[in-house]
Order: sequence, then structure tokens, then C-alpha cells
Amino acid sequence: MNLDDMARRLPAERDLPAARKQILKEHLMTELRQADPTRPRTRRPRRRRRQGEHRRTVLVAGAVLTAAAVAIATATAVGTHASPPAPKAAQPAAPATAAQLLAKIAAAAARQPAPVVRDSDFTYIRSEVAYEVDSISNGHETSSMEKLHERQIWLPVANVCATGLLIEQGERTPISPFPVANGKVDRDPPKGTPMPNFTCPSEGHLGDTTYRLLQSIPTQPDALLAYLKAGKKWTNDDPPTEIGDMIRETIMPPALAAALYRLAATLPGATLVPHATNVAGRAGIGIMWTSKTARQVYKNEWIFDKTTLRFIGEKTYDPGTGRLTGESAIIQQAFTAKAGQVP
Amino acid sequence: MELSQRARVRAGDHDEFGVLFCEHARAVYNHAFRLTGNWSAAEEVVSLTFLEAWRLRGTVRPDGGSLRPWLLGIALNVARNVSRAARRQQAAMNRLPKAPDVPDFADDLAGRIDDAERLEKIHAALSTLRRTERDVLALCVWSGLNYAEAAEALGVPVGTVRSRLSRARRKLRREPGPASEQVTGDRVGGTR
Repeated sequence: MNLDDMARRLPAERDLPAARKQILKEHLMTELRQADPTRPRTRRPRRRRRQGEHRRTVLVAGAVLTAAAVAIATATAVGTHASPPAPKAAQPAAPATAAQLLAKIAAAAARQPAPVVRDSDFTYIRSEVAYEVDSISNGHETSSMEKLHERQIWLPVANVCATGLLIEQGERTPISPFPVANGKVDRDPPKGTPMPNFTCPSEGHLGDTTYRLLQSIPTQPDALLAYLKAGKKWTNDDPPTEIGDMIRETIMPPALAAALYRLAATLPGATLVPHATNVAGRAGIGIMWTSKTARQVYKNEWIFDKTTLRFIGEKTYDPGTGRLTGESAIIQQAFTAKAGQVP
Repeated sequence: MELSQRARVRAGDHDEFGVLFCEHARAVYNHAFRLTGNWSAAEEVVSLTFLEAWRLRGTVRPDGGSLRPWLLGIALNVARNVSRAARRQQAAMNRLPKAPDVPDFADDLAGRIDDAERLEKIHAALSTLRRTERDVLALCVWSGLNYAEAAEALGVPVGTVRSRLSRARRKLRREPGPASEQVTGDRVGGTR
């Protein structure tokens, strides 16, 4: 046998399975952040990142939390101020279980009028956030909560390739699936730079959604659950985490919001928190999600306004120690005609 | 002046390691498969190779071309002693999400098993070679590095690469081929 012969007998090269490649890369990047003594990192929220997700990265780095659903409280771009659901004359008894509360939240969401939104609009969310940040120096890792600060984000309504904007802690960062360098979107970066694996224009996908994508997601319970589980193939997130990620920093179409909360009511792991307060001091009622399975370890609280049952913020905890690791309050959400335009 | 990739890797630039992974994960994966004969093990070697590359980033020479030879050299050591590398990176590897129970390539499982069988026969044919000769062969003949690149990967002079390869060539010429009727024919799955 000669060497050329041998080379010909070698099996053909193969690609790493795409999903696995993404997991290996994310793992590597996470390990580097942990190993690097110089860079502070935000520990929470650790959430999925999918291929080409520069936007996702920014969201993660910014450590968000935000908005959801229900209410397009201030749809100023189109002037449709959604009114809160009229308080019933005779309030039914307070919900006794998480499932009951989620059912009520779903019903309140379903009553919201659907806003009129143009493809060229941006979803605007203003929130107050603080997250735990880790820094490592001299081999010692210390964790501390960020100071509570304002975060404003504009995300395209119909096409994730359109450039959005994040303003947080004095920094203006473009939001794009394309690489962002020196504050600018680079659509023609050096070879090898990770690029979005979809073609533009795109309504995005679970994990990097647009309002138009959310409008297209099935609202039938079985179909919706199947949709979320299909997303799990990429994220390993279980449905409560997927839903939590979806309602955060998003204006949610009323029909999908209702469907998500109805679905959430059927999922295990939720407990009712009768008195919950968001970081802005607004009193509410909460749903605590806990999971300690091998893959999914979390303790997250969704907070809803007591009267309107709108999502008003979130808290995350270390599931081991119970220590608070992040909190947010949604202050305002609206559609605007341009990124950077304040409603 | 913009820093070279080598300079950025030496400086521990995270993003550059991301780029490095995107550029070379496939090459490392296939190299690792040819070394281990096992596609699942190859995944683990990919992960460990880049973790080891991070640890060893200070050893990158400032000048030179692609870092692929350097990575393939690290992969050689990792594949040879996966358990040692895994021990060193144990904490990191514990955090690596396990591969799904049903592999992503389930549809192609038969092809991959066939790959492993071919490799086994080739490995058997190499049993008379020294380890150092097999390394040169894996780098130059299987992964297509030139002598200078293989020299960088192995940390040996170019002349050593050349002499090891020619020795391997001579030894193999004396060997009967692997059970050739079973491994000849078209490569299953073609080129991808």
C-alpha cells in the first residue's frame, strides 16, 4: 500500500452537525469568559444564543429583562392607547394557584386590542434593569449587582436585518445580526467572522424575534407547544424558559400572549407569589418558575400588575442560594417610526 | 496597524478564538476522526483542542500563516491522550452540554459507521509505524499540511518531518495493503 492509496481510502470529510457545532462554540466562548481574568462578565441571564446572533449577544451582554406581552400600553406611533381591561365590578376571588393566575393573565391579554403596526416601525421598550456581574481578579471571583439603570431598545418590527438600537449606561449600540465593530454594523467583515445564517430580509426566528414573526406563531396550544419544543432543539431550553425569553423585551401580539400564558398554565414548575414587587417599586403578583433538572437550572419570577395583569418585570435568582441575580421593570413600550425616536 | 490573527490569539482575544473556531473546527473535527476512528470522540477532541489552544495561546509564534497547523498539532496530543486532556479541562468539560441521545446525524448513521470501519483497517495497516511517523502521516497525507506546516504543528525541524515521512512511506510499501477488496470502491457519501 502506498500513501496515495491510503489517502484515497480515507473516509470523506464531514461537517460537524450544525447544532452541535454551535453548542461547542458557545461552550468555548463561555469557558474563555470564565477563564479570562480581565473581563467582567454578566452572569445572568444566561440564555440561548443561536447562530449569527449578534443581536442576541448584545441583548445578553446588556442583560436585559423586559417587556411583555399584554399591553401595548403606549402604542404612540399609531396613537392607539390600549386601555387597561376594565376592572370588573365584582372582582372574582383572588387566584389561589399559579395556573389560575396564568389563566386570568391570558384572559386579560386576549382582551387587548391588536395594534396597527407598519413594517418599517420599531418596537421600543424602556426598562430599568440591574444584573449581577462577575469579575475575576487575582484568581478571586466576586459578584456584585449592577446599579439599577435605564435601558432603551429599538428592534425592527418586520426584518431583523434592519439595524436597531440599544441605549444603556451611556452607550449607543447598533443591534444587528451582522457583526458590530466600533459601534458600526459591518456587513462585509473579514473572512471567518460569524455571519447570520439566514437571508435578508428575515422576520427572525425564536430567539431573535420580530413582531411579524410573533404574529405568525401558532396559537393553538398543541401547535404552540410543538413550536417551542422545536426551538428546544437549538436552545435546550424547556418551555417555561422559552416563554420567559419570548415575553421579555417584546411587544407581544395579544393572541400569542394569551396563548403563551394559557400554555404556561399547563406546565409544571410554577408557583404563585401573592405579593411581588418589580424593581421600580410597582406592586404586583408573581409567577415563580423553578427547575433543578440536570439541564435546566433556574429560578425566575415573572411579575404582573395586580390590576391590569400586564407583565411589568422579572426577577432572577440563583437557584442554589436563592440570591437575587437580576431584576427588571418595564417602564414603557410602544412602536416608533425610527430607531432612536422616543415616543 | 491592525494586529495579525496570531497576535490577537496570543493576546487572548476572545472574539479571535471564536473566529478561529469557525475557520478550523471542521478541519480539527475530521483530523480528530482520522486519529480516533470515532465521530463522537472527534467532537470531544474538537472541544478539548480549542480549550487547550486557549491555554497554550502564549506558544503561538508571532510570525507565520494560518494557525491550522498549530491547532492540528494540539489535536494530535489531545487525541492521543483524551483522558489526560479531559482531566486538565475537567471543569470545563463538565459544563459542555452532552450530545443529544439521538445524534444529529442519525439519518447518516450507517455512513458514519462505515467510516469508522474503514479507519480501523487503515489504522491496522499503520501498526508497524512509530508514533512519530504516524503523526507526520496524519498531518501531511491526511490533513494536507506541507512539510513546513507539519514542522510547526509538531515543533520539529522541517528535515525531521521529511525523513519521518519517507521512513513511513518505505515501511508501508513493504506492508500488504489492508483487506483491499473491502475498502476499495467509491467513498461512501462522496465529498462533502
